[in-house]
Amino acid sequence: MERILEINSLYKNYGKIKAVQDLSLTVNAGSVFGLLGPNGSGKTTTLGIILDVVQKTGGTYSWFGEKPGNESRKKIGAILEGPSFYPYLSAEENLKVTAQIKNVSYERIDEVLKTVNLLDRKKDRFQSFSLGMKQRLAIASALLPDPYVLVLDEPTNGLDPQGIADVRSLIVKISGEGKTIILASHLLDEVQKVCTDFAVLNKGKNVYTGSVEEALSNKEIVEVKAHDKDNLIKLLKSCSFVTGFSENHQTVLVHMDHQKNAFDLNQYFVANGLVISHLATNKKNLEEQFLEILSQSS
Amino acid sequence: MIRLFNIEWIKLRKYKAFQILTALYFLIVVVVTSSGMFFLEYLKSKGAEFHGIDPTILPIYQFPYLWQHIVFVAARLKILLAFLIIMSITNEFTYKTMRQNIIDGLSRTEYVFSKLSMIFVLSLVNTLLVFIIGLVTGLIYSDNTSIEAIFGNIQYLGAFFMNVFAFLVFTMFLSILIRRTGVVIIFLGMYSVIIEPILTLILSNAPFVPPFYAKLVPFFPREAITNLIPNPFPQYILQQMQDHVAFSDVTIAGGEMLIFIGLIFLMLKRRQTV
Ligand SMILES: Nc1ncnc2c1ncn2[C@@H]1O[C@H](COP(=O)(O)OP(=O)(O)O)[C@@H](O)[C@H]1O
Ligand SMILES: [Mg+2]
Repeated sequence: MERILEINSLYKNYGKIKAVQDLSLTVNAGSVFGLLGPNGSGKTTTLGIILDVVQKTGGTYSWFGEKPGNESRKKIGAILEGPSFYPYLSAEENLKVTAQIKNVSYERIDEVLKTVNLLDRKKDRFQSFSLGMKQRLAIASALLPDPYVLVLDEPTNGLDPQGIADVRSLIVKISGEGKTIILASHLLDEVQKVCTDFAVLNKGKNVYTGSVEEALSNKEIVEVKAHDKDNLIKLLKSCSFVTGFSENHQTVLVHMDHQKNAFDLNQYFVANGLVISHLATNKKNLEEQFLEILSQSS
Repeated sequence: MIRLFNIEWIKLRKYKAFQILTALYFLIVVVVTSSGMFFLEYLKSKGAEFHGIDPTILPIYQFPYLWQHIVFVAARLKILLAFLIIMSITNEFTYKTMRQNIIDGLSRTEYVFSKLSMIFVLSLVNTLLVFIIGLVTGLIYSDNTSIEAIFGNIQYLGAFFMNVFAFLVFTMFLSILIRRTGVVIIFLGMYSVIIEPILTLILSNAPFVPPFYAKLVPFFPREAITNLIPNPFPQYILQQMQDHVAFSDVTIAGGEMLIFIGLIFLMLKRRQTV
Protein backbone atom coordinates (compact mmCIF):
# COMPACT_ATOMS: atom_id res chain seq x y z
CA MET A 1 0.00 0.00 0.00
CA GLU A 2 1.26 3.47 -0.85
CA ARG A 3 2.62 5.41 2.08
CA ILE A 4 1.43 8.97 2.36
CA LEU A 5 3.10 9.92 5.60
CA GLU A 6 5.68 8.28 7.72
CA ILE A 7 6.83 9.67 11.05
CA ASN A 8 9.81 8.16 12.83
CA SER A 9 10.59 8.80 16.44
CA LEU A 10 9.56 12.44 16.47
CA TYR A 11 10.40 14.63 19.47
CA LYS A 12 9.45 18.17 20.37
CA ASN A 13 10.35 20.03 23.52
CA TYR A 14 9.15 23.52 24.34
CA GLY A 15 11.72 24.26 27.02
CA LYS A 16 10.85 21.75 29.72
CA ILE A 17 7.53 20.77 28.20
CA LYS A 18 7.82 17.52 26.29
CA ALA A 19 5.09 18.11 23.73
CA VAL A 20 5.91 15.10 21.54
CA GLN A 21 7.98 12.10 22.57
CA ASP A 22 9.22 9.29 20.37
CA LEU A 23 6.19 9.43 18.12
CA SER A 24 6.09 7.09 15.15
CA LEU A 25 3.23 6.41 12.81
CA THR A 26 2.39 5.60 9.23
CA VAL A 27 -0.54 6.80 7.17
CA ASN A 28 -1.44 4.80 4.10
CA ALA A 29 -3.11 6.08 0.97
CA GLY A 30 -6.88 6.09 1.05
CA SER A 31 -7.25 5.93 4.79
CA VAL A 32 -8.90 8.42 7.10
CA PHE A 33 -6.41 8.57 9.88
CA GLY A 34 -7.50 9.89 13.26
CA LEU A 35 -5.01 11.43 15.64
CA LEU A 36 -6.90 11.13 18.86
CA GLY A 37 -5.88 12.55 22.18
CA PRO A 38 -7.01 14.86 24.96
CA ASN A 39 -6.21 18.57 24.80
CA GLY A 40 -2.50 19.20 25.17
CA SER A 41 -1.50 15.71 24.07
CA GLY A 42 0.61 17.01 21.19
CA LYS A 43 -1.67 16.64 18.17
CA THR A 44 -1.32 20.19 16.87
CA THR A 45 2.41 20.18 17.59
CA THR A 46 2.83 16.97 15.59
CA LEU A 47 0.85 18.35 12.66
CA GLY A 48 2.75 21.66 12.93
CA ILE A 49 6.04 19.82 12.58
CA ILE A 50 5.01 17.78 9.56
CA LEU A 51 3.67 20.98 7.96
CA ASP A 52 6.94 22.81 8.63
CA VAL A 53 5.64 25.54 10.90
CA VAL A 54 6.98 24.10 14.14
CA GLN A 55 10.61 23.11 14.52
CA LYS A 56 11.16 19.55 15.67
CA THR A 57 13.61 18.66 18.40
CA GLY A 58 14.39 15.27 16.89
CA GLY A 59 13.21 12.51 14.59
CA THR A 60 12.28 12.37 10.93
CA TYR A 61 9.21 12.35 8.73
CA SER A 62 8.54 11.95 5.05
CA TRP A 63 5.63 12.79 2.77
CA PHE A 64 4.90 10.56 -0.22
CA GLY A 65 8.11 8.68 0.53
CA GLU A 66 10.16 11.80 -0.22
CA LYS A 67 12.18 14.24 1.78
CA PRO A 68 9.66 16.90 2.81
CA GLY A 69 9.83 20.39 1.28
CA ASN A 70 7.76 23.21 -0.18
CA GLU A 71 6.72 21.07 -3.13
CA SER A 72 5.28 18.35 -0.93
CA ARG A 73 3.30 20.94 1.04
CA LYS A 74 1.79 22.26 -2.17
CA LYS A 75 0.24 18.84 -2.69
CA ILE A 76 -1.24 18.80 0.80
CA GLY A 77 -4.34 20.66 1.88
CA ALA A 78 -4.05 21.52 5.54
CA ILE A 79 -5.77 23.49 8.27
CA LEU A 80 -4.06 23.88 11.61
CA GLU A 81 -6.04 25.06 14.64
CA GLY A 82 -8.93 26.64 12.84
CA PRO A 83 -9.36 28.63 9.64
CA SER A 84 -6.75 31.34 8.95
CA PHE A 85 -7.70 33.89 6.31
CA TYR A 86 -7.49 37.61 5.58
CA PRO A 87 -10.69 38.85 7.23
CA TYR A 88 -11.05 41.88 4.96
CA LEU A 89 -10.87 39.86 1.76
CA SER A 90 -13.70 37.95 0.15
CA ALA A 91 -13.80 34.16 0.09
CA GLU A 92 -12.76 34.29 -3.55
CA GLU A 93 -9.83 36.65 -3.01
CA ASN A 94 -8.64 34.56 -0.10
CA LEU A 95 -8.66 31.46 -2.26
CA LYS A 96 -6.75 33.35 -4.95
CA VAL A 97 -3.91 33.80 -2.49
CA THR A 98 -3.87 30.04 -1.82
CA ALA A 99 -4.15 29.28 -5.54
CA GLN A 100 -1.15 31.52 -6.29
CA ILE A 101 0.89 29.86 -3.57
CA LYS A 102 -0.01 26.37 -4.69
CA ASN A 103 0.26 27.14 -8.42
CA VAL A 104 -3.35 26.15 -8.99
CA SER A 105 -5.57 27.63 -11.70
CA TYR A 106 -8.27 30.09 -10.55
CA GLU A 107 -10.81 27.85 -12.24
CA ARG A 108 -10.60 25.52 -9.27
CA ILE A 109 -11.95 28.23 -6.96
CA ASP A 110 -15.58 27.92 -8.01
CA GLU A 111 -15.34 24.15 -7.97
CA VAL A 112 -14.13 23.91 -4.40
CA LEU A 113 -16.53 26.61 -3.22
CA LYS A 114 -19.30 24.53 -4.70
CA THR A 115 -18.07 21.41 -2.94
CA VAL A 116 -18.35 23.14 0.43
CA ASN A 117 -21.56 24.92 -0.46
CA LEU A 118 -20.23 28.46 -0.37
CA LEU A 119 -20.41 29.38 -4.03
CA ASP A 120 -23.15 31.94 -3.48
CA ARG A 121 -21.07 33.64 -0.78
CA LYS A 122 -17.85 33.94 -2.73
CA LYS A 123 -17.95 37.74 -2.95
CA ASP A 124 -18.56 38.12 0.77
CA ARG A 125 -15.81 38.98 3.15
CA PHE A 126 -14.36 36.28 5.32
CA GLN A 127 -15.09 38.32 8.44
CA SER A 128 -18.80 38.21 7.71
CA PHE A 129 -18.86 34.39 7.81
CA SER A 130 -20.14 32.22 10.63
CA LEU A 131 -17.62 29.87 12.19
CA GLY A 132 -19.11 26.93 10.32
CA MET A 133 -18.73 28.78 7.02
CA LYS A 134 -15.18 29.77 7.90
CA GLN A 135 -14.34 26.16 8.58
CA ARG A 136 -15.90 25.09 5.30
CA LEU A 137 -13.94 27.77 3.47
CA ALA A 138 -10.80 26.37 5.09
CA ILE A 139 -11.70 22.95 3.76
CA ALA A 140 -12.34 24.47 0.34
CA SER A 141 -8.91 26.05 0.44
CA ALA A 142 -7.38 22.73 1.43
CA LEU A 143 -9.11 21.10 -1.54
CA LEU A 144 -7.80 23.62 -4.08
CA PRO A 145 -4.83 21.63 -5.39
CA ASP A 146 -7.02 18.54 -5.61
CA PRO A 147 -4.66 17.13 -2.99
CA TYR A 148 -3.81 13.53 -2.26
CA VAL A 149 -4.04 14.31 1.36
CA LEU A 150 -5.98 16.59 3.65
CA VAL A 151 -4.79 17.45 7.12
CA LEU A 152 -7.52 18.73 9.41
CA ASP A 153 -6.88 19.80 12.97
CA GLU A 154 -10.02 19.74 15.13
CA PRO A 155 -12.26 20.67 12.18
CA THR A 156 -15.46 20.74 14.22
CA ASN A 157 -14.13 22.63 17.21
CA GLY A 158 -16.53 25.33 18.34
CA LEU A 159 -19.16 24.58 15.71
CA ASP A 160 -22.87 24.27 16.41
CA PRO A 161 -24.52 20.87 15.84
CA GLN A 162 -25.49 21.78 12.29
CA GLY A 163 -21.96 22.95 11.54
CA ILE A 164 -20.53 19.76 13.02
CA ALA A 165 -22.86 17.64 10.90
CA ASP A 166 -21.97 19.63 7.75
CA VAL A 167 -18.24 19.32 8.27
CA ARG A 168 -18.41 15.63 9.12
CA SER A 169 -20.48 14.74 6.12
CA LEU A 170 -18.08 16.78 4.01
CA ILE A 171 -15.16 14.75 5.37
CA VAL A 172 -16.97 11.50 4.65
CA LYS A 173 -17.80 12.72 1.16
CA ILE A 174 -14.20 13.73 0.45
CA SER A 175 -12.79 10.47 1.76
CA GLY A 176 -15.32 8.69 -0.43
CA GLU A 177 -13.50 10.23 -3.39
CA GLY A 178 -10.45 8.24 -2.41
CA LYS A 179 -8.49 10.97 -0.69
CA THR A 180 -6.37 10.37 2.34
CA ILE A 181 -7.35 12.40 5.36
CA ILE A 182 -5.44 12.98 8.56
CA LEU A 183 -7.74 14.26 11.25
CA ALA A 184 -6.72 15.39 14.71
CA SER A 185 -9.45 15.40 17.28
CA HIS A 186 -10.05 15.14 20.99
CA LEU A 187 -13.50 13.76 20.23
CA LEU A 188 -13.72 10.01 20.14
CA ASP A 189 -17.09 10.05 18.70
CA GLU A 190 -15.73 12.00 15.73
CA VAL A 191 -12.89 9.58 15.12
CA GLN A 192 -15.30 6.70 15.44
CA LYS A 193 -17.66 8.26 12.93
CA VAL A 194 -15.26 9.27 10.20
CA CYS A 195 -11.93 7.46 10.58
CA THR A 196 -10.69 4.12 9.32
CA ASP A 197 -7.49 4.10 11.38
CA PHE A 198 -6.36 5.94 14.41
CA ALA A 199 -3.55 6.57 16.83
CA VAL A 200 -4.06 7.67 20.40
CA LEU A 201 -1.73 10.31 21.76
CA ASN A 202 -1.25 10.89 25.43
CA LYS A 203 1.28 13.35 26.82
CA GLY A 204 3.05 13.42 23.48
CA LYS A 205 3.37 9.66 23.15
CA ASN A 206 1.67 7.36 20.72
CA VAL A 207 0.01 4.91 23.07
CA TYR A 208 -2.14 2.98 20.63
CA THR A 209 -2.40 2.48 16.88
CA GLY A 210 -4.93 0.39 15.07
CA SER A 211 -7.87 0.35 12.74
CA VAL A 212 -11.15 1.68 14.03
CA GLU A 213 -12.99 -1.40 12.91
CA GLU A 214 -10.59 -3.65 14.74
CA ALA A 215 -10.75 -1.53 17.83
CA LEU A 216 -14.50 -1.78 17.77
CA SER A 217 -14.74 -5.49 17.00
CA ASN A 218 -11.92 -6.36 19.29
CA LYS A 219 -14.07 -5.97 22.32
CA GLU A 220 -17.33 -7.25 20.99
CA ILE A 221 -19.61 -8.18 23.82
CA VAL A 222 -22.75 -10.20 23.23
CA GLU A 223 -25.70 -10.27 25.57
CA VAL A 224 -27.37 -13.66 25.78
CA LYS A 225 -30.46 -14.93 27.61
CA ALA A 226 -31.69 -18.51 27.71
CA HIS A 227 -34.34 -20.32 29.74
CA ASP A 228 -31.83 -23.08 30.37
CA LYS A 229 -29.24 -20.84 31.95
CA ASP A 230 -27.22 -23.68 33.45
CA ASN A 231 -26.71 -25.26 30.06
CA LEU A 232 -25.84 -21.84 28.63
CA ILE A 233 -23.09 -21.37 31.22
CA LYS A 234 -21.81 -24.87 30.67
CA LEU A 235 -21.60 -24.35 26.91
CA LEU A 236 -19.88 -20.99 27.28
CA LYS A 237 -17.23 -22.54 29.51
CA SER A 238 -16.40 -25.14 26.92
CA CYS A 239 -16.53 -22.80 23.90
CA SER A 240 -13.11 -22.25 22.29
CA PHE A 241 -13.60 -18.63 21.20
CA VAL A 242 -15.27 -17.25 24.31
CA THR A 243 -12.66 -15.43 26.34
CA GLY A 244 -14.86 -14.73 29.32
CA PHE A 245 -18.35 -13.96 30.51
CA SER A 246 -20.14 -12.30 33.34
CA GLU A 247 -23.65 -12.72 34.68
CA ASN A 248 -25.95 -9.80 35.15
CA HIS A 249 -29.28 -11.02 36.56
CA GLN A 250 -30.86 -13.06 33.80
CA THR A 251 -28.48 -11.78 31.13
CA VAL A 252 -25.04 -13.17 30.45
CA LEU A 253 -22.41 -10.88 28.89
CA VAL A 254 -20.09 -12.86 26.66
CA HIS A 255 -16.63 -11.63 25.63
CA MET A 256 -15.16 -13.20 22.54
CA ASP A 257 -12.12 -13.29 20.29
CA HIS A 258 -12.16 -10.37 17.91
CA GLN A 259 -12.66 -12.47 14.78
CA LYS A 260 -15.90 -13.87 16.16
CA ASN A 261 -19.25 -12.23 16.50
CA ALA A 262 -22.84 -12.92 17.56
CA PHE A 263 -23.44 -15.00 14.46
CA ASP A 264 -20.69 -17.46 15.40
CA LEU A 265 -21.95 -17.68 18.94
CA ASN A 266 -25.49 -18.38 17.83
CA GLN A 267 -24.27 -21.03 15.41
CA TYR A 268 -22.40 -22.69 18.25
CA PHE A 269 -25.53 -22.72 20.44
CA VAL A 270 -27.63 -24.18 17.63
CA ALA A 271 -25.04 -26.87 16.96
CA ASN A 272 -25.18 -27.79 20.63
CA GLY A 273 -28.95 -27.81 20.81
CA LEU A 274 -29.44 -24.73 22.97
CA VAL A 275 -32.38 -22.47 22.30
CA ILE A 276 -31.75 -18.90 23.33
CA SER A 277 -34.34 -16.24 24.02
CA HIS A 278 -32.23 -13.09 23.56
CA LEU A 279 -29.12 -12.26 21.59
CA ALA A 280 -27.75 -8.75 21.20
CA THR A 281 -24.40 -7.25 20.28
CA ASN A 282 -23.25 -4.71 22.78
CA LYS A 283 -20.33 -2.94 21.21
CA LYS A 284 -18.15 -1.50 23.84
CA ASN A 285 -17.74 1.97 22.48
CA LEU A 286 -14.44 3.48 21.61
CA GLU A 287 -14.81 5.94 24.41
CA GLU A 288 -14.58 3.28 27.09
CA GLN A 289 -11.59 1.83 25.31
CA PHE A 290 -10.02 5.26 24.86
CA LEU A 291 -10.31 5.97 28.56
CA GLU A 292 -8.95 2.52 29.24
CA ILE A 293 -5.96 3.13 26.97
CA LEU A 294 -5.27 6.48 28.57
CA SER A 295 -5.49 5.12 32.09
CA GLN A 296 -3.17 2.25 31.19
CA SER A 297 -0.63 4.57 29.65
CA SER A 298 -0.41 7.16 32.39
CA MET B 1 9.33 36.93 -8.61
CA ILE B 2 6.19 38.04 -10.42
CA ARG B 3 4.28 35.26 -8.71
CA LEU B 4 5.62 36.42 -5.34
CA PHE B 5 4.64 40.01 -6.04
CA ASN B 6 1.24 38.83 -7.21
CA ILE B 7 0.62 37.01 -3.94
CA GLU B 8 1.29 40.19 -1.97
CA TRP B 9 -0.71 42.28 -4.44
CA ILE B 10 -3.81 40.08 -4.05
CA LYS B 11 -3.48 40.30 -0.29
CA LEU B 12 -3.44 44.09 -0.40
CA ARG B 13 -5.32 45.44 -3.39
CA LYS B 14 -8.81 44.97 -1.93
CA TYR B 15 -7.74 45.98 1.54
CA LYS B 16 -9.38 49.30 2.45
CA ALA B 17 -6.59 50.40 4.77
CA PHE B 18 -4.07 49.81 1.97
CA GLN B 19 -6.13 51.72 -0.56
CA ILE B 20 -6.66 54.65 1.77
CA LEU B 21 -3.09 54.85 3.04
CA THR B 22 -1.45 54.65 -0.39
CA ALA B 23 -3.89 57.15 -1.89
CA LEU B 24 -3.41 59.50 1.04
CA TYR B 25 0.35 59.11 0.93
CA PHE B 26 0.70 59.80 -2.78
CA LEU B 27 -1.71 62.70 -2.51
CA ILE B 28 0.30 64.24 0.30
CA VAL B 29 3.53 63.75 -1.64
CA VAL B 30 2.08 65.49 -4.67
CA VAL B 31 0.62 68.38 -2.69
CA VAL B 32 3.62 68.97 -0.45
CA THR B 33 6.33 68.70 -3.09
CA SER B 34 4.56 70.76 -5.71
CA SER B 35 3.36 73.59 -3.53
CA GLY B 36 6.77 75.00 -2.63
CA MET B 37 6.25 78.30 -4.42
CA PHE B 38 2.90 78.83 -2.75
CA PHE B 39 4.57 78.15 0.55
CA LEU B 40 7.25 80.74 -0.14
CA GLU B 41 4.61 83.28 -1.22
CA TYR B 42 2.87 82.60 2.04
CA LEU B 43 6.09 83.17 3.98
CA LYS B 44 6.60 86.41 2.10
CA SER B 45 3.10 87.62 2.84
CA LYS B 46 3.81 86.98 6.52
CA GLY B 47 6.87 89.17 6.22
CA ALA B 48 9.46 86.42 6.55
CA GLU B 49 12.88 86.97 5.09
CA PHE B 50 16.18 85.14 4.83
CA HIS B 51 19.01 87.47 5.67
CA GLY B 52 17.33 90.24 3.77
CA ILE B 53 16.40 88.05 0.81
CA ASP B 54 12.88 87.77 -0.48
CA PRO B 55 11.93 84.09 0.11
CA THR B 56 10.27 83.73 -3.29
CA ILE B 57 13.61 84.10 -5.06
CA LEU B 58 15.00 81.02 -3.28
CA PRO B 59 15.86 78.54 -6.07
CA ILE B 60 13.85 75.64 -4.74
CA TYR B 61 12.54 74.62 -8.14
CA GLN B 62 15.66 75.45 -10.12
CA PHE B 63 17.23 72.57 -11.99
CA PRO B 64 19.43 70.87 -10.99
CA TYR B 65 19.09 71.86 -7.28
CA LEU B 66 15.42 70.97 -7.40
CA TRP B 67 16.07 67.26 -6.98
CA GLN B 68 17.74 67.55 -3.63
CA HIS B 69 15.01 69.87 -2.37
CA ILE B 70 12.15 67.78 -3.54
CA VAL B 71 13.45 64.38 -2.40
CA PHE B 72 14.45 65.78 0.95
CA VAL B 73 10.91 66.98 1.54
CA ALA B 74 9.30 63.86 0.11
CA ALA B 75 11.48 61.67 2.33
CA ARG B 76 9.90 63.25 5.44
CA LEU B 77 6.55 61.78 4.49
CA LYS B 78 7.34 58.09 4.22
CA ILE B 79 6.02 57.27 7.68
CA LEU B 80 2.64 56.65 6.07
CA LEU B 81 4.14 53.94 3.91
CA ALA B 82 5.76 52.50 7.00
CA PHE B 83 2.31 52.11 8.60
CA LEU B 84 1.27 50.20 5.56
CA ILE B 85 4.19 47.80 5.77
CA ILE B 86 3.69 47.37 9.51
CA MET B 87 0.04 46.46 9.01
CA SER B 88 0.70 44.17 6.10
CA ILE B 89 3.13 42.17 8.20
CA THR B 90 1.73 42.24 11.72
CA ASN B 91 -1.72 41.38 10.35
CA GLU B 92 -0.26 38.14 9.11
CA PHE B 93 0.78 37.22 12.62
CA THR B 94 -2.55 38.28 14.11
CA TYR B 95 -4.56 36.30 11.57
CA LYS B 96 -2.03 33.44 11.38
CA THR B 97 -2.01 33.86 7.62
CA MET B 98 1.76 33.75 7.31
CA ARG B 99 1.65 30.36 8.97
CA GLN B 100 -1.08 29.32 6.57
CA ASN B 101 0.97 30.59 3.61
CA ILE B 102 3.84 28.37 4.67
CA ILE B 103 1.54 25.40 5.27
CA ASP B 104 0.17 25.96 1.78
CA GLY B 105 3.65 25.57 0.34
CA LEU B 106 5.34 28.97 0.38
CA SER B 107 8.90 28.83 1.68
CA ARG B 108 10.07 31.32 4.27
CA THR B 109 12.44 32.75 1.67
CA GLU B 110 9.62 33.19 -0.82
CA TYR B 111 7.52 34.84 1.86
CA VAL B 112 10.23 37.40 2.59
CA PHE B 113 10.79 38.07 -1.11
CA SER B 114 7.08 38.49 -1.65
CA LYS B 115 7.03 41.24 1.01
CA LEU B 116 10.27 42.75 -0.29
CA SER B 117 8.91 42.85 -3.83
CA MET B 118 5.99 44.97 -2.62
CA ILE B 119 8.38 47.26 -0.75
CA PHE B 120 10.47 47.51 -3.90
CA VAL B 121 7.49 48.39 -6.08
CA LEU B 122 6.15 50.94 -3.58
CA SER B 123 9.56 52.59 -3.40
CA LEU B 124 9.85 52.58 -7.17
CA VAL B 125 6.40 54.06 -7.75
CA ASN B 126 7.18 56.63 -5.12
CA THR B 127 10.43 57.57 -6.86
CA LEU B 128 8.75 57.77 -10.26
CA LEU B 129 6.07 60.00 -8.82
CA VAL B 130 8.64 62.32 -7.31
CA PHE B 131 10.50 62.32 -10.62
CA ILE B 132 7.37 63.38 -12.47
CA ILE B 133 6.54 66.07 -9.93
CA GLY B 134 10.12 67.31 -10.13
CA LEU B 135 10.00 67.41 -13.91
CA VAL B 136 6.69 69.25 -14.03
CA THR B 137 7.44 71.79 -11.30
CA GLY B 138 10.92 72.34 -12.73
CA LEU B 139 9.60 72.96 -16.21
CA ILE B 140 7.17 75.46 -14.76
CA TYR B 141 9.48 77.37 -12.42
CA SER B 142 13.06 76.71 -13.48
CA ASP B 143 14.96 79.28 -15.54
CA ASN B 144 17.36 76.71 -16.89
CA THR B 145 15.70 73.77 -18.61
CA SER B 146 18.64 72.36 -20.49
CA ILE B 147 19.06 68.62 -20.43
CA GLU B 148 22.26 68.96 -18.39
CA ALA B 149 20.49 71.05 -15.81
CA ILE B 150 17.46 68.79 -15.61
CA PHE B 151 19.46 65.62 -15.14
CA GLY B 152 22.33 67.27 -13.35
CA ASN B 153 21.52 66.06 -9.86
CA ILE B 154 19.42 63.09 -10.75
CA GLN B 155 21.42 60.90 -8.36
CA TYR B 156 19.21 62.31 -5.62
CA LEU B 157 16.37 60.26 -7.02
CA GLY B 158 18.50 57.15 -6.56
CA ALA B 159 19.23 58.27 -3.02
CA PHE B 160 15.51 58.81 -2.47
CA PHE B 161 14.66 55.35 -3.72
CA MET B 162 17.21 53.85 -1.39
CA ASN B 163 16.08 56.04 1.48
CA VAL B 164 12.49 54.80 1.16
CA PHE B 165 13.43 51.19 0.46
CA ALA B 166 15.90 50.96 3.35
CA PHE B 167 13.45 52.57 5.76
CA LEU B 168 10.71 50.16 4.77
CA VAL B 169 13.09 47.21 5.13
CA PHE B 170 13.94 48.46 8.63
CA THR B 171 10.22 48.72 9.34
CA MET B 172 9.69 45.21 8.04
CA PHE B 173 12.46 43.98 10.29
CA LEU B 174 10.82 45.56 13.34
CA SER B 175 7.41 44.18 12.36
CA ILE B 176 8.70 40.63 12.10
CA LEU B 177 10.69 41.02 15.30
CA ILE B 178 7.86 42.48 17.40
CA ARG B 179 4.78 41.10 15.59
CA ARG B 180 2.20 43.32 17.37
CA THR B 181 0.88 46.24 15.29
CA GLY B 182 0.55 48.80 18.06
CA VAL B 183 3.84 47.92 19.68
CA VAL B 184 5.73 48.21 16.39
CA ILE B 185 4.23 51.62 15.65
CA ILE B 186 5.01 52.92 19.12
CA PHE B 187 8.50 51.48 19.07
CA LEU B 188 9.29 52.85 15.63
CA GLY B 189 8.06 56.30 16.72
CA MET B 190 9.99 56.23 19.99
CA TYR B 191 13.08 54.92 18.29
CA SER B 192 13.14 57.50 15.51
CA VAL B 193 12.13 60.50 17.56
CA ILE B 194 13.61 59.79 20.97
CA ILE B 195 15.91 56.81 21.37
CA GLU B 196 18.26 57.20 18.43
CA PRO B 197 18.45 61.01 18.44
CA ILE B 198 19.28 61.08 22.14
CA LEU B 199 21.76 58.24 21.88
CA THR B 200 23.56 59.76 18.91
CA LEU B 201 23.54 63.17 20.57
CA ILE B 202 25.19 61.71 23.65
CA LEU B 203 27.75 59.79 21.61
CA SER B 204 28.76 62.76 19.54
CA ASN B 205 28.58 65.56 22.10
CA ALA B 206 28.69 64.39 25.68
CA PRO B 207 31.99 65.34 27.35
CA PHE B 208 32.23 62.02 29.24
CA VAL B 209 32.08 59.90 26.05
CA PRO B 210 35.46 59.15 24.41
CA PRO B 211 35.67 60.83 21.00
CA PHE B 212 35.93 57.47 19.22
CA TYR B 213 32.25 56.78 19.85
CA ALA B 214 31.19 59.72 17.71
CA LYS B 215 32.42 57.67 14.75
CA LEU B 216 29.66 55.16 15.40
CA VAL B 217 26.89 57.68 14.93
CA PRO B 218 26.56 57.32 11.14
CA PHE B 219 25.94 53.62 11.60
CA PHE B 220 22.69 53.99 13.55
CA PRO B 221 19.85 52.91 11.25
CA ARG B 222 17.87 56.13 11.22
CA GLU B 223 21.03 58.14 10.83
CA ALA B 224 22.30 55.90 8.02
CA ILE B 225 19.02 56.20 6.16
CA THR B 226 18.65 59.96 6.70
CA ASN B 227 22.24 60.68 5.66
CA LEU B 228 21.50 59.45 2.16
CA ILE B 229 19.78 62.74 1.44
CA PRO B 230 21.61 65.70 3.02
CA ASN B 231 19.40 68.55 4.12
CA PRO B 232 19.67 71.25 1.40
CA PHE B 233 18.03 74.05 3.32
CA PRO B 234 20.75 75.18 5.77
CA GLN B 235 22.52 76.86 2.83
CA TYR B 236 19.74 79.40 2.67
CA ILE B 237 20.61 80.63 6.11
CA LEU B 238 24.22 80.61 5.00
CA GLN B 239 25.31 77.42 6.68
CA GLN B 240 27.48 74.70 5.29
CA MET B 241 25.88 71.64 3.84
CA GLN B 242 26.78 68.50 1.96
CA ASP B 243 25.80 69.06 -1.66
CA HIS B 244 26.16 65.54 -3.01
CA VAL B 245 25.19 61.96 -2.36
CA ALA B 246 28.20 60.50 -0.59
CA PHE B 247 29.46 57.09 -1.59
CA SER B 248 30.19 56.25 2.04
CA ASP B 249 26.59 57.03 3.02
CA VAL B 250 25.25 54.80 0.26
CA THR B 251 27.57 52.00 1.32
CA ILE B 252 26.55 52.23 4.96
CA ALA B 253 22.81 52.36 4.22
CA GLY B 254 23.07 49.58 1.61
CA GLY B 255 25.12 47.40 3.93
CA GLU B 256 22.69 47.85 6.79
CA MET B 257 19.76 47.12 4.53
CA LEU B 258 21.37 43.80 3.64
CA ILE B 259 22.04 43.09 7.29
CA PHE B 260 18.39 43.72 8.17
CA ILE B 261 17.23 41.45 5.37
CA GLY B 262 19.65 38.82 6.66
CA LEU B 263 18.26 39.22 10.18
CA ILE B 264 14.72 38.83 8.86
CA PHE B 265 15.66 35.49 7.30
CA LEU B 266 17.48 34.43 10.42
CA MET B 267 14.50 35.22 12.65
CA LEU B 268 12.06 33.32 10.47
CA LYS B 269 14.36 30.30 10.16
CA ARG B 270 15.18 30.17 13.84
CA ARG B 271 11.73 30.60 15.30
CA GLN B 272 10.29 27.57 17.08
CA THR B 273 6.87 28.28 15.63
CA VAL B 274 5.57 30.66 13.00
N1 LIG C 1 4.25 27.52 21.27
C1 LIG C 1 4.27 26.77 22.39
N2 LIG C 1 5.09 27.09 23.41
C2 LIG C 1 5.14 26.35 24.52
N3 LIG C 1 4.41 25.25 24.74
C3 LIG C 1 3.57 24.86 23.76
C4 LIG C 1 3.45 25.59 22.54
N4 LIG C 1 2.54 24.97 21.76
C5 LIG C 1 2.12 23.90 22.46
N5 LIG C 1 2.72 23.83 23.66
C6 LIG C 1 2.53 22.78 24.68
O1 LIG C 1 2.74 21.53 24.07
C7 LIG C 1 1.80 20.57 24.51
C8 LIG C 1 1.03 20.00 23.35
O2 LIG C 1 0.17 20.98 22.80
P1 LIG C 1 -0.66 20.77 21.47
O3 LIG C 1 0.22 20.16 20.46
O4 LIG C 1 -1.31 22.06 21.14
O5 LIG C 1 -1.74 19.71 21.94
P2 LIG C 1 -3.15 19.33 21.29
O6 LIG C 1 -3.19 19.88 19.90
O7 LIG C 1 -3.15 17.84 21.33
O8 LIG C 1 -4.19 19.92 22.17
C9 LIG C 1 0.92 21.29 25.53
O9 LIG C 1 1.43 21.02 26.81
C10 LIG C 1 1.11 22.74 25.19
O10 LIG C 1 0.95 23.54 26.31
MG1 LIG D 1 -4.66 21.16 19.11
